[in-house]
Amino acid sequence: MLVIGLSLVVFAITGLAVDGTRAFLFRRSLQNSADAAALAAAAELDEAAYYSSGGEVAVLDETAARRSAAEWLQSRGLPLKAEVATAPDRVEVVVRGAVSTTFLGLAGITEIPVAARADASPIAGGP
Amino acid sequence: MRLSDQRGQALIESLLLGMLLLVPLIWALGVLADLHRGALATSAAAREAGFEAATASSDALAAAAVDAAVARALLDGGIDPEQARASWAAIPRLERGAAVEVEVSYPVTVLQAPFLGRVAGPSIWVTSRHVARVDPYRSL
Repeated sequence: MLVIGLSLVVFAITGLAVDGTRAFLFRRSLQNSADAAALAAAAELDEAAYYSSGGEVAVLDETAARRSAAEWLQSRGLPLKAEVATAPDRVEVVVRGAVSTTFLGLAGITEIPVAARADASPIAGGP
Repeated sequence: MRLSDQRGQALIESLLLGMLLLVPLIWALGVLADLHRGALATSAAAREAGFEAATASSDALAAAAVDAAVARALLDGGIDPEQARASWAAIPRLERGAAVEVEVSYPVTVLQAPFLGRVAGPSIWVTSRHVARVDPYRSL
């Protein structure tokens, strides 16, 4: 009885360690993708506004920014859903995915939802 | 009622079965911890190297920046950079708006002895990839 009980505890701890680690690492991948997509999108400037202001005003071309973020995320090939929200001075990328579990599936938890968020803003000037 | 020659038998069985469970478990957790450390370090290395390469002004500077960023990130993660492999490519080439792709791999040894570390044997390669974009308005 003691051995069976101990085995169950050990199994549960191992399951948490394995599936938790996978979820943590997947979240990190999502965060890296979201960051890179937000940076790529924030580089899509409205050139007409930029040049007409003599380089003083940097606002986003929102359509191009959304397209750029979507293309960037697609290039990563990760199984995720993305929401890209834009404003003239800001882009926000939220990515969501799920990790299928191995051990926790036995306890009825078949997947762990994971999400990451990043935002970026265009700025005028710089090197 | 327990016979006198069975006294202590349950304790021995528990110890043996406990060892049988605990030794592989501790070994597996050690390998998992190493895999986790390797994955964290390689993903940080790929990310840093991607950002560094995307701001370099030439292929030679980008290559040097990638090597330096990878070494720094792996050392931060407690990993010897000599064991890792890093590669990068700018698609189509290092210019405004290009994609810079960096891949960093590190072998995690499956068989390790306590206090001695690595023992010859198979390795699990942990690989991370990051894609960064070169600023389309940057000065070159």
